[in-house]
Amino acid sequence: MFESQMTFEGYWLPKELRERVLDGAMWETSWLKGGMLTPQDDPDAVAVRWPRLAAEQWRVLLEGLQQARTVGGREVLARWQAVLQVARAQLVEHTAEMMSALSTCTGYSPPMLAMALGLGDLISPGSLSAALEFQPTWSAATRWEQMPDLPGRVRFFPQRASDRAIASLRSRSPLCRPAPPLDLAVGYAAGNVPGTALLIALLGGLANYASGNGTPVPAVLIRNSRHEPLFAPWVLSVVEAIDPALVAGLAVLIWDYEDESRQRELMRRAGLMIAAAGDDTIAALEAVRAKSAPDLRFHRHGHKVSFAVIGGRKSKVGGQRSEIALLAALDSSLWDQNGCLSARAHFVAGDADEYAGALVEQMRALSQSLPRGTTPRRLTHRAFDTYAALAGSGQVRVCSTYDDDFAVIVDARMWNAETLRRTVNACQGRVIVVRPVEDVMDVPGVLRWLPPANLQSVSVAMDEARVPEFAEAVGARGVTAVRSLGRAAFPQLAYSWDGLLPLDVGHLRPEGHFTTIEFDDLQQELDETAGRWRP
Amino acid sequence: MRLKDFFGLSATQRNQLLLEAIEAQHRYHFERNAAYRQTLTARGIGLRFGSDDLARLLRPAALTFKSYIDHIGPFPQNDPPGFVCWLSDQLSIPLPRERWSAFRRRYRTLEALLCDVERIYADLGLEIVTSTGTSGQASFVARNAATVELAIHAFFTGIRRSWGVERGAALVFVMPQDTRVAMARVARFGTRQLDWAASSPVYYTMPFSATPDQLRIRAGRVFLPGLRGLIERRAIHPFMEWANEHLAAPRYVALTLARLRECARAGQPLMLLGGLVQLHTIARQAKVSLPPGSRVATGGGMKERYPFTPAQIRADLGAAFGNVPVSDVYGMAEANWAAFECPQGNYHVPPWVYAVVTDDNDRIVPGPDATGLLAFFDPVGGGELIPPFFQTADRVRLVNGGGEYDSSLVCSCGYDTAYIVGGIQRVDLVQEAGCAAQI
Repeated sequence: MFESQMTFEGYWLPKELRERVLDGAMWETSWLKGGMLTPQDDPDAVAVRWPRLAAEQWRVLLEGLQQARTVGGREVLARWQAVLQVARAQLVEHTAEMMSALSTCTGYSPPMLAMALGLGDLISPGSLSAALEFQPTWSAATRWEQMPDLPGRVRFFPQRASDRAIASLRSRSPLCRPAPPLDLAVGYAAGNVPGTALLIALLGGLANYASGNGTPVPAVLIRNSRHEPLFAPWVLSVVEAIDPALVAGLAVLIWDYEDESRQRELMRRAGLMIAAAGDDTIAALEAVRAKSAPDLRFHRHGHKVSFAVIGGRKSKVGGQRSEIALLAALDSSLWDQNGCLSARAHFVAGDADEYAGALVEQMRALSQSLPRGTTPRRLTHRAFDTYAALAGSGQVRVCSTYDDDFAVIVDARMWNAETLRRTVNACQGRVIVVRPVEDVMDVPGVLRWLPPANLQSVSVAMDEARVPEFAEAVGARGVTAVRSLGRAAFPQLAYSWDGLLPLDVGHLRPEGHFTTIEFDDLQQELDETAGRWRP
Repeated sequence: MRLKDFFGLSATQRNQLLLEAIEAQHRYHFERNAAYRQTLTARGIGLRFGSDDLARLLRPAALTFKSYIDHIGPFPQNDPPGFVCWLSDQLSIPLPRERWSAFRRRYRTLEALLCDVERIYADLGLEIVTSTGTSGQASFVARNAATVELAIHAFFTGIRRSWGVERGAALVFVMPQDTRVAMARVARFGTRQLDWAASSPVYYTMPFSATPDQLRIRAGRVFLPGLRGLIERRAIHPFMEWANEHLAAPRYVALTLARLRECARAGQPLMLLGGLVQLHTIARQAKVSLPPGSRVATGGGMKERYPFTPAQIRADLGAAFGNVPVSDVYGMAEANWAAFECPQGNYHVPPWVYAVVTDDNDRIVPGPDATGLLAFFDPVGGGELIPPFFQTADRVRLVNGGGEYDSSLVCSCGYDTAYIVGGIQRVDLVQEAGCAAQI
């Protein structure tokens, strides 16, 4: 029966190259279920195959990708925008057939996938072109600056003390300079949250934008995740049908990290490497890069954690405190906290118990409308048991029940670095620890206990006037994005992704990270997000 | 009912008996054990429970015995009252409070604190055993004289029935004599209690101690705060790594080989028991043809990045020691029993243990051939100190476990108990995560 089972293609090659590269290729087939590889005899698993290329096929591929580089400079972005407008409708047409496979493969429920993809308009590729126009000066290292034609603000936090010291003296000097154009960008995507490979493909393709329209985009070669190899090929095949030239220099494959000679060769050829993967994988890539291609630019997106911060009374949405809880619940429910963007602990200034009660109600509602995926419930149960055992102290309250498929806990104990670490680690699989704080400005002090490199975003609902002060403090701790509550799972491409702005793909700059505030009017954006959920 | 009586029962009889015993043990512990009662009450379980609720009696073993970290932090020696309070909650016997004042305010080492717990409550016969603590954070499992005796009985019954190791065989343990690691303690107490040395020699060939503090520092994952921690990290840990390779390993290899050669010369059958890596280190140094009737037994001790697979190691062990049988034993500090590998390569759970597997949602997986996380109820052999109902972090394929039995699946070795087929896989949380960090 398994021979007749449908096998999905877990790779993508442009049409012009496909036959030539795949001629005589060996194939690797994997069976995926719940974001994990499973044995072949699991009838519920999805079979996915990808080619294993021999040396000659690699040569044909790399040469072919180079020859296919046609679209130049900033034109590439305009064409992506045009294509994505059309592609979205076509993707929706094919959603039914793909959603089931994607759900089985990743372990996320179809409603969750549909919701995440359906609200894709929250991610605006249009703003990307505005972001690429931004030419920051050193003044961004001393104050929040507006990016032209984009809401929100940006601030640069230099890593070196000497850079911080001289920033104000050079405030009008450009912070970045164009990077040399490159022929090849290599990307690595990991995990089972769909979309990472596509994001890397898009960014990699923009790497030469600063070199002018005469310079073709680099070829882009992505090593995709074995745990989610379906989404990128699906989207790219639709894109190719609309604008073949746009993706003619792009390939998404799977090869072994352990194939060190291949890795070395690719790194020597590439001018930019982008990896969204685990810290250990990134360390392994870095080791090869340091040995084989020390000049290769490397954009690292390692393991991260994110949080939600809810301020005082003024942050009610439409007068409804429950809508704040709904937005916060969304931030911790999408991708079941397997993604780096998911809010772990919720810091609450105000009545934390009341908030937790409202959060439980909203999480229960989301359990119906946005069911959790296959992330083991035992993770949730472990957290439940752990905190239930602490309830005797009177400072911990478990607000959900064992039968809920989430856990909400109010933890008012004294915290230190160890308790925060354990809290962060416990908050996976829809586990939310509500942490009462006196004031939102207490949060940066707590985050200092975490490694800055592991901090990512904070989604907020607080008094508008407090946002810059708050963002300044958490940015200095390592947080790279401050976005409005309810949009944690919808990062804007135009803003900072782990400290890197889109302009970073085409520029060089001093070490440090960009932190962005992704809105101008927080209240308006909270209302707008909540409005999408009102019946 | 005695443990050995279970061997004569049919699967139906013993399952019925065990389910009744589980119910009785639950009631006993629910009334006496604060931690158990608190966890189960939160799960919606009271003094009585329905048959569908059996899985809710299971507590994750590692979480239960490491829960002190959430209560008092990772260094109990810094908070002896907090530790004794935590320990008191974990036990189904009272720890007299009036003696709490006998503890010092702080202890320099964890071992010193544990020694004081045992001294101050000597009349209760308390023994604290630990896991190997390779994560840097050990599980602490309390046992009393009765549970130690049950563990000894379970272990020595197991090696006799499963491996045919009878009194008269020499025992060579590649482990320290002075340690709290559970299996080593059972070996030491067992051989002493059974007076094994009266009829044949008993050797421990790791001539150094392995206290929880030493194990923690050697693991290199958790260090004390402050200056002492800095010294541990920068000086003691690297030194221990070096000393293990250059001083300890050569010594235990030489001592073990000397004992094996003595036995070989005397024609004395023996059982050699140790961790996979330690035994492999010995096997790679020299060949000793062990006398007929001997056996090599491995238990744990596999390192994450050891360049040989367990199968390769076992092949090397067989070749090095005269092709005597090489078998494995599966156990853990939290269990008062062990599963011994039979000639078919299956791990047999003792008949007095009600073993099941649970799925990712903590439900018992039905069927006589099921795969999931191993969980066990040990209502007869687990003693009365701690509710002996635990879920492990080991993913296994379990045959004829729980109330499910299929006579056609009885292991061809003839030993009619629940058994684990194939390997045992430790479930790693990180594998399930995407880009979300575990800090």
